[in-house]
Amino acid sequence: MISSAVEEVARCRGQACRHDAACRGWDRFRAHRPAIVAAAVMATLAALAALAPWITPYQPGAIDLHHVAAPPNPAHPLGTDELGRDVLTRIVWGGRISLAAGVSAMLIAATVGIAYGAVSGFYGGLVDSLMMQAVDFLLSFPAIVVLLILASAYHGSVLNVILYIGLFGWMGMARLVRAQVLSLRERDFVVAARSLGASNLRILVRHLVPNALAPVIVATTLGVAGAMLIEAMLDFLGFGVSPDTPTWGNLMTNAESYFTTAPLLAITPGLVITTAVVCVHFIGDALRDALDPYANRSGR
Amino acid sequence: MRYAAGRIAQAAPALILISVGAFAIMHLAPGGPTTAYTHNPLVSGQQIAVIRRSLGLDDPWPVQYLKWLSSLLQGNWGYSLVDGRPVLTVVLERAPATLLLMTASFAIALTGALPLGVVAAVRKRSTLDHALTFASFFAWAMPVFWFGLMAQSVLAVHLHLFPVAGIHSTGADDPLDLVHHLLLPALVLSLGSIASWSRFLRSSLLEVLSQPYMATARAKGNSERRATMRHALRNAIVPLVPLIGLDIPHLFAGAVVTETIFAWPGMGRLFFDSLVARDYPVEMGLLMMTAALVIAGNLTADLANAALDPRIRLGARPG
Repeated sequence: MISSAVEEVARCRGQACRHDAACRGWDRFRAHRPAIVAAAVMATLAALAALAPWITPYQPGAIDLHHVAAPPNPAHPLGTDELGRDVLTRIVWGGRISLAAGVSAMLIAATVGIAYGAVSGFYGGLVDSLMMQAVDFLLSFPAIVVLLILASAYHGSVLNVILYIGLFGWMGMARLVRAQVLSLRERDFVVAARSLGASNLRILVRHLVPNALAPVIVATTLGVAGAMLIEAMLDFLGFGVSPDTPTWGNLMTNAESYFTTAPLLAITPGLVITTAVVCVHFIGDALRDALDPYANRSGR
Repeated sequence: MRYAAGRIAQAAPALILISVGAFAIMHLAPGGPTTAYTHNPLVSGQQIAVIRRSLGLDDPWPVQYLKWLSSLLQGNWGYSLVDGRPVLTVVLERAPATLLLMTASFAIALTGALPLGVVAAVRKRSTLDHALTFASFFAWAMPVFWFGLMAQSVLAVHLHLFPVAGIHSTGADDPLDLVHHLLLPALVLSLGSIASWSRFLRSSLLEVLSQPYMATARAKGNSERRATMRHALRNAIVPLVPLIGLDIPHLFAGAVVTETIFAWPGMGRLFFDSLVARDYPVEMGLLMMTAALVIAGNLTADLANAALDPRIRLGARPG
């Protein structure tokens, strides 16, 4: 998505692009000023996380016995944790897992949701009503309770956490895609494709899904914010990624006990998560304006 | 009435399906009832087989499920693996504390969200509106556990405004002491709901305020205040009701975290403890309990919605 956004910027730098849909989209995204700041912040966080092994001053597990639970000092700009590990290093490393987990969980959710919703909306009738009843049933499940039960039974690996969050997030997407496909499948371009001999699969994959994608992209982006929060909560409760791995949630788990002596230990990771979640949300909001201008814009 | 009966009839199969799900999870989870014996050298394979037979674990799944369901309906929810007490007793003795916490935070959320939403909508695009938008973004984005920790550290540990944790001071059991302990966790738990409900009310109220019937209401000589409060708010609240019903599971998830932080002796804390101890019977009891809570929440929301909006009651599609 980033590379295509860059291309759009490049094209818009030229002039007469008022009639190009992608350019108008970019104009609408740009009009959302907080989103531009948010995108810059997220790009920085992502770049820092990606480059962590090369830019952090210490190893994430390195222990400095001269500075244990130390306040910020020249050697450790954000101080050290209760074992003498550099907090800045661990926050930068933590971003690798926390950001990647949020994004991949929602990519799983989007993939499942698109496939499920497209099939349901395309075939309609009994198939549709059965598939949607299954979705309604799953939505009536107290998802977070089941998620916690699963995560507490099998936890430790990042992959599990991603899978759990992803598998509980696709139902909303499926509904979105189904509604889009339902309205699209009667359109002339589908009739045209069919009369040219296109198979059902081809119509679904090449014609319906791409046209139904805009609201899914928005929902996925907004979902990343929620997924990051759930991941942090699982880590904090001790049912997420194994506790020695630096993630933003894990960083806060032990910090609680040291709040009186080293308050920064708990404050910093929380601020980073909150910032990231706010930024992702702003980006999602602007994407909605850019991609889906007719959507019902709640909260604005 | 017909609508209500229909909705209640729909809720029953959902509960049964959830019980199937709970049963499946309980049996797929690692460990099972005989795990405790498999590593004990004094218990032979033969003895385990006897135990399995006596517990009915060799029966086919459907038979096991029906037996489990019928004892569930008779109030026998199994026994906690931690202390051997009946699950229903363990869960029910924790229920009042959670209901108290959730009711309190629900009340705080409503009294906070309604005025904030109305003010933001009436003063659209004012500095106050922008400030509220920004604040609600942050409130929504903060991890509950982090906000809880911060509130606990600053307000309770440093400023001594509230007790740090628990439900009673040692030896005290007067209501005032209880309220004093209740306020901070309830406040922490309600923050997310205040943010999302007030945002939702704002946009829904803005939509209503631009409706033609609002012009009529004003033209009839209603003051702006009366038009907003009597005519607009009533209509704007309708879509908020199902949202509140759908928020109940989130409230419970928040309760797990909040009760864990504030050592509040409710079902959320019990759930966390049972997860740590892998006490599956208690986990499943709580799962069924929350499932019932979620379904009841949806049902109440739908019924309240039907009461507020005659179009739903009379079978027309809501506009």
